[in-house]
Amino acid sequence: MRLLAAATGYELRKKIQFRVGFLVREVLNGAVEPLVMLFVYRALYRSAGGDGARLGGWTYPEIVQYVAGLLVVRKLVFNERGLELSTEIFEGRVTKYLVMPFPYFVLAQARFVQFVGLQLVVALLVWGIGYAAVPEHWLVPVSGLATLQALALALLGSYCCFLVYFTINAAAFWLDVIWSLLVMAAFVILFIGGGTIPVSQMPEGVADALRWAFPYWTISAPIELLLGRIGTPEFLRGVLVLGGWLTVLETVRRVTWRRGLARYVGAGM
Amino acid sequence: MLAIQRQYVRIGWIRKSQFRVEFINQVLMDCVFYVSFILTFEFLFELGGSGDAALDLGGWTRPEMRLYLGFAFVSDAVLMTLLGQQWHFGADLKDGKLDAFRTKPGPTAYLYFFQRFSPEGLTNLIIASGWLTYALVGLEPGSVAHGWLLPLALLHTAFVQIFLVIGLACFELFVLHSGIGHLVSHIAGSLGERPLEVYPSALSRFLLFVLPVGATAWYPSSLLLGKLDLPFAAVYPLATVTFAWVAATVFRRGLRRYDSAMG
Amino acid sequence: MTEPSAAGDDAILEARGVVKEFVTFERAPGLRGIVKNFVARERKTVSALAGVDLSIQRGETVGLIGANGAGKTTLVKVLTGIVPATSGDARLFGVDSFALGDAEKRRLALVMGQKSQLWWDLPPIDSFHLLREIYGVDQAVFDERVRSFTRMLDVEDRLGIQLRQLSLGQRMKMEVIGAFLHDPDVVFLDEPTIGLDLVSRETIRGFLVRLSEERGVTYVLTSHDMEDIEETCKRIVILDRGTVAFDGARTELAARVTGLRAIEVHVDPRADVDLEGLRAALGAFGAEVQGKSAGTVRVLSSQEALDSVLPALLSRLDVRDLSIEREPLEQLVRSMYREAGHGAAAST
Repeated sequence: MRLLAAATGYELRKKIQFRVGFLVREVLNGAVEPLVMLFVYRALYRSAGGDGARLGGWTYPEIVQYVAGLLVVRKLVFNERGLELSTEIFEGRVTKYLVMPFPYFVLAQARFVQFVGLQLVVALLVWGIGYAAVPEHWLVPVSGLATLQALALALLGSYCCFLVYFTINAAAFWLDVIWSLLVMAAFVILFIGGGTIPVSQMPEGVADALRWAFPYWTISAPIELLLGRIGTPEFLRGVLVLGGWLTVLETVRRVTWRRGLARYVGAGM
Repeated sequence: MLAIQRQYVRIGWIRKSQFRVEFINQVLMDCVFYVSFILTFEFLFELGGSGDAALDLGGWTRPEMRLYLGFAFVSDAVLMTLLGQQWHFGADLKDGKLDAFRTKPGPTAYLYFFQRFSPEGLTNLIIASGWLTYALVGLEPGSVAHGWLLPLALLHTAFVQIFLVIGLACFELFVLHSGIGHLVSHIAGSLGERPLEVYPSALSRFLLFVLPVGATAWYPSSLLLGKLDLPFAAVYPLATVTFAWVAATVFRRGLRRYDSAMG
Repeated sequence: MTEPSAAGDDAILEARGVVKEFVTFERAPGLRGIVKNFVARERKTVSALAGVDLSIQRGETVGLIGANGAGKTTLVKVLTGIVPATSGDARLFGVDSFALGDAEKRRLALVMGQKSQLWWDLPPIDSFHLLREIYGVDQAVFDERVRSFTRMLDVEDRLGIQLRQLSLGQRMKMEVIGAFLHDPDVVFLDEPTIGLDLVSRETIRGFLVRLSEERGVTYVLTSHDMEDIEETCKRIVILDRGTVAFDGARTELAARVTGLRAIEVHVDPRADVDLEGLRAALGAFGAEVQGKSAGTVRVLSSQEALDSVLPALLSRLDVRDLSIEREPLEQLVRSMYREAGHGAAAST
């Protein structure tokens, strides 16, 4: 644990080295698309008759609150830029960790812990700024329990994302370039998780299918919990679905890492 | 410059022949981007029930929106084909990787930004053009007012895209180590991918005349669909030429701030 | 030490009072430092060049040396127009270095030992083709140069292999070839032999000397390897903390060591050596005991005194082996730094 704490402190220092960079990468990142979509929604609802119109079970003010939730919850979702593993593999920098008396994965987990710690603060900051600026449109959680449940789902889902990105990074043992796979995964996670439009606003068959995937429980479901649109039964289902995914993803990660290490050539040695 | 471009293209193909899996991955990546965009708007229009005219986005019906996305995709593919290096600009500035280009004859911006010709971008350009053609064919007969302007509109799109990259790179030059160029590019790109009519009028004007991302998809699609007044349609390219001149000038001046990773 | 050469009609490169400053940010250590840095950073202006005067004539071969942080690379960057000078005047071919036009850039080349200018994931021949287009080199001339340069540097069979798959020495040879393909008038080489083995270093040096003699190329070479400088440059400029500490002919610098010989005596490591007695005995002949490590005693003596110093050494020490060498330039530069009062920086 001491090792994890030390590594986390080191990762944190790296993150906030450049102030503007920090603001851009950690605070503003992920805010653009949802805000732009608000304009699209406004035009759409206008053509449907105004704020009172209900499209796919959502009114425009509810969509605004969903977008507010999106701005906050997305901060907690581990992103594709959070690991440098593939670069470390390409450049042979993994070597130095392999001879140290701890598994490399601990260092990667430290990056996840650092991410969560920092992003919880950022998420709180974003929520506070939004609430201070537009309290009447902003998302206010229906209860403390809902907040805790939303947080639990978002963090479990975030760890699923971490495992996905770790595994893709480990594909660098086989492939020369993997950034496109990372970007692709990020696209898919975001889209099917409700990062562009709420999953429940998608066609019914699509939405039902996506409720079996971890991105929905990472992005859309926590916001719906905060809005009071879903409750404890759905939360429990989410925990089960995420637990299943965690098991599968962790197994895939272990296998990929073990097989990848067998191919490691330690470039630069 | 054409001879250099020919070499850049040659190099792009050689490089990609060495990384074939990467080629496929990148083509797939852009396809995922296209599909997610198309699905987003299809899902949104679907909310109004059946019928193409049930809902619209600031006057853009579903078939028109497909055309709009076609231009957005083509414009993005042009960017990826010719100017993929822009994504590395912030990091390259930080690492002093402009040194070699500063000492070579020819405009630094051209030598730097065009160096990474992307065959997968070209492949996606073909796919994007396919969607654009599908969207054009799917329009109601007679709704394409000025089809003959398509080649000119595409050339204009490519021209604006090039100078947008140079203009946005200036942010990196002035706020080093920030990744702000990335962010502004992302914001501008996202705004340009939706019709300007959905934005407040001040923002629309900004996106047309100050940071003309409206020129990449909105202008050509509006032009083809006859949504523009003739005088505006004729004069607007002057605004983009002015932007291009300003962007190139600011970039040249901004190079004074390049500290080449102090050695 | 001499004054910088006066700018003549043939001055191809001039620097007058060139100052280059960078702004950096300093952070206090610890968590408080991190937070403080995030809220209000402490700006610090670092002066990399503090008023450099230099004039280089056509055909000169100049070695630029100095400790780490002396300003060598920054000076090269200012002179080549990569970065502008904060103040002062840097001119290349009579034009402000930061405003070089295409015509001037066609006469210029830059090799950076720590930054590849060729494309990392391409075979060198493809990068060369691109350079041919950029510099507008005639195809036949290009083919001939590639053929002859690769032969001279012994990399003829490596042209079609990806740069990243070449050894460091082969990579650097390719960088050097790329720099000379357009027959430049001035070439800047920033540590071109860093990290290379002896054979590669000698091959590159030989190449530079030959091109300088055959084509009259002017070059400015920065290196930490004094042998590079000694074997390829006729003029030496020593930079120290952003200013010119020495500017003169290599022979002038060498004159300071002419006649001095470094003697290395190997003795039984377990034997006691009376250093004080040895110092006194050799001091009588003007020789100096420079130091002793396990089994080795180092002595500096004039050439003339060797007849007296050697018998004295043989009589006082149980000598197992002995070598006599001319004092290397590196040693001299180091002592110059020491004389200037910052010995620790003398890590050339």
